[in-house]
Amino acid sequence: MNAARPSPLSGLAVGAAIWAPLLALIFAPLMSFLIYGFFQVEDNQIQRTLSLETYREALTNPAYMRTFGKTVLLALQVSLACLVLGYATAYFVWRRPARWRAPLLFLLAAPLLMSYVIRIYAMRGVLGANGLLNGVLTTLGIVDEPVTAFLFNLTAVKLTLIVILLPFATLPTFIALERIPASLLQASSDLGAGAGRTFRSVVLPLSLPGATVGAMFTFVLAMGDFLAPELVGGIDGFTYGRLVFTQFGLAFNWPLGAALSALLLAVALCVVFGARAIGSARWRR
Amino acid sequence: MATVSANFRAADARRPLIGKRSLADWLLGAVAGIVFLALYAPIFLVFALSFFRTRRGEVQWDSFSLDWYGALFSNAEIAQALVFSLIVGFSATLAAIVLATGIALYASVPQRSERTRAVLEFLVFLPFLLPPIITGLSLLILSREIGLPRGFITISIGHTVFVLAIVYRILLTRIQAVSRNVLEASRDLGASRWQTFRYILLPQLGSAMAAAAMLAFALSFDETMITLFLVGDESTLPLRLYAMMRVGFTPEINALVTLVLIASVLLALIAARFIRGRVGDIEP
Amino acid sequence: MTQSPVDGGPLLSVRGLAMRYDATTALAAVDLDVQNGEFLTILGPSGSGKTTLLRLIGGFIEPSEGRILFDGVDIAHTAIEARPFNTVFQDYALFPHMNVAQNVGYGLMVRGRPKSEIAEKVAKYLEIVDLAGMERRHPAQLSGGQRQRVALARALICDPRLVLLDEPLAALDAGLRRQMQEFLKSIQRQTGVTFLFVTHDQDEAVTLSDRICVMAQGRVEQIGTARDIYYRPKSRFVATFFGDNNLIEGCRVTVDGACVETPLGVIDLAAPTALAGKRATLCIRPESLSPLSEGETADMSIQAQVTAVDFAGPVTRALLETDAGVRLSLKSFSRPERDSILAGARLTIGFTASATALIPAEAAP
Repeated sequence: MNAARPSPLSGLAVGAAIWAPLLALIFAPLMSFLIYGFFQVEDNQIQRTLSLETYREALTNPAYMRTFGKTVLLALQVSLACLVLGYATAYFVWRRPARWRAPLLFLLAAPLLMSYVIRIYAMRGVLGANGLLNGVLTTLGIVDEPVTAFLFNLTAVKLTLIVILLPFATLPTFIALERIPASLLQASSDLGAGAGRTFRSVVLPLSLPGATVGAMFTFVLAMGDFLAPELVGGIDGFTYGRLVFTQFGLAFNWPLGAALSALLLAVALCVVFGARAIGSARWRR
Repeated sequence: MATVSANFRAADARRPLIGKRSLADWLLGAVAGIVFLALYAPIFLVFALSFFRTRRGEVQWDSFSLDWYGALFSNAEIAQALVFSLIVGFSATLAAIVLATGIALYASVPQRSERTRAVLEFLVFLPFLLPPIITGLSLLILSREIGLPRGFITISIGHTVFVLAIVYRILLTRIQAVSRNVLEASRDLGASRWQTFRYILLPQLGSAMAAAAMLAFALSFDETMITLFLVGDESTLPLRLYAMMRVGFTPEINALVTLVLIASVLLALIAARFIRGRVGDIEP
Repeated sequence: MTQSPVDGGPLLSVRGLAMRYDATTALAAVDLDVQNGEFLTILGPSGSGKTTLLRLIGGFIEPSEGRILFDGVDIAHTAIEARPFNTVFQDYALFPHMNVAQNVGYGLMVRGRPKSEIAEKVAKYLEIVDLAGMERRHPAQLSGGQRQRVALARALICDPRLVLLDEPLAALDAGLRRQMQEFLKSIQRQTGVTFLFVTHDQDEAVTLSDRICVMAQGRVEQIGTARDIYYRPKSRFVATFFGDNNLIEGCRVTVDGACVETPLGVIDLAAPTALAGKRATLCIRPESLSPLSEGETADMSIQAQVTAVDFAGPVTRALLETDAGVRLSLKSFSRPERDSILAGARLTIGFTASATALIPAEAAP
């Protein structure tokens, strides 16, 4: 009687059980925050009348736009640094003998499992007036007095984000390097290419897409971060993420916060789709 | 065995690249050295400061003590936050495993269309790919709209959604590694779908589930930015840390941080063992 | 087309079974009867649809159209676990996390049989497949042949009415393969269970089967005993699929169907043919041609020139050309006292009319 495939009814039930939580917990929240951007706040009360006023304010206010521009620049610098440093490190690890590679790779990945807050806290220990960096600099006699310029400014945010986000850049690069068939490297050196030549014409073109995807991911994370700027940035390190977060805290303007982060969402989605295109263009399938 | 020989071949192929040491090689080594230093120096500093006292920024190396650990254990707020974090971590991990198993099974049915899978995976990966701030505030807004008070439930939902992608990825990879023939053989021998899942698929997913659970738990245990939006009266450990840090440095933070770090690394090592070690047992 | 049913009709009847994927046809309207207790082999090259047919019968896929009648009921759309058939897979498909005893007993376990019964039957079937004492081993610890036997025991333990075997010996090396062929055959005789066996290997099909169903391009070409298939091919595909064959083109059957005009002369037909009055191709196996000594006679005798000789120890092969220009290949046992098969020599070749077969002529080019 029964068909080899499940009956339409049970298929529907299974589909519902899978899709319902995804739609309720992922799709619905995103939609509701986009809708919130159409509300306004008057006298500390959220007005549920739909208008473009809040979005217009979020996207045209010069102060917000300045913060946005500053944050884009910051995220670009951070992701570029992560790309260069991350690539160099991944390449270094990739070229070690096999028995060294796994432990080094673990050392690169392990910080990902260490708490974000803890790592920011640790960076404060390094950058502070009594911190490690100053200690090294004074001991070496490079500076006479501890430098206070390392903490509570934009530079501190940059340094902290670079250190925190580096693993996101090194790991995809390493994976991309590992996927280069050994035969290609042999072929290249058989054909008389030197180390530099092989790197430029084989290794780099084949691994750069992976590395770029990793760097794009660090860009998204740096754009939206508000913890590191808050904890090491001081007033100078006021970023877009902090601007959004403030709307949900002290400023209590959720519609504005939602409208501001819609721009963040747009940027993030662009980067995600861009990364997908780069990632799938050369390698996958 | 196969991987070992592949590694040897790969290492040989890289040999020409390693060849003679040029300036570029030294430069590369220097950069890698700085990166490893930058990753670990802060952590070791914290580690050291949990045992030693400082005076005017100088670490007093003769002042070894476990006082900060003692202070930590008598701090009731931290103990509460730790317990709350553990409860949230367990709940979110359990929810994510159940949900991700369902989704991965649903997605790996052969007749599922490419389009359906793409949409499904897009939704699953979204909270992981977007900045956490967006996941946090959108869940905050929705929970307010439906009248769900902030607290344990909202935080657990936030963490579940955040770790779902990783759990899904690990489980899907393992499900796809299970031979289709083996599942068909089970049905052929008279087992129902449920029996096939229970007796054939689930045992083969076990180690992947354990690894995914550990990773999910570690991510949940550390999650801060989403949690900041969803927290109610009870604070998780990272949030308590955050609050303590905003007030200023207290030495017992170092002790706490050291303990959390050690636990994280242990968990990661065990998870790595599970992911790598057991695959060989499964495929003959 | 259909074979005469032996006592009580066929166990399974396939009627008009077709499987289409988008534009491609994997199986086109196949009819097949499987008799109770027989060892039936589905033989064909890859892409012939043999595995598709097996998977349709097993219930792994659903047909586009057609019926699969079992005990008079159409089971074409019945759930896989509800069919009293069990399958032996090409890659064995043993459960990697279970030991031998658990693998073999799985079918009984999911049916909720008591533990004691399962243990008893597992022991019995492991005895049958000669694996007693291996209960605690895991599949990874077994050799290819042992895994094969576990898979067989696992398929037999639920007393299936039909065992489906999907190229189960393909992964084994030649020596082990022959051993397993004999083993399979003896198990089938011993248990009396009907075996439906899929292979692309002609020798294997001939060695094992009571009947063979030859498939090509999604169609059944011919069903019959190994002898039928070998000596009485009904199509060009079947005539050339098994070993060497001489195909003599340009023949015509007389209108009364009594004899056929061939370039080798007129041959009286021993059995009636469906090709009366039609153009045909004559088939004759190289070993059915024999060199005649002085004074020997045969149904048919022809003169031919030896153009090439290949002495291969026990057999000698030769290429001949008749006076009418027909090229033939001949295979005969080598005999030291007979050295008439020499390149350039003229021979008289004889054959019997019953050793020939007629297939329809190829459509005019």
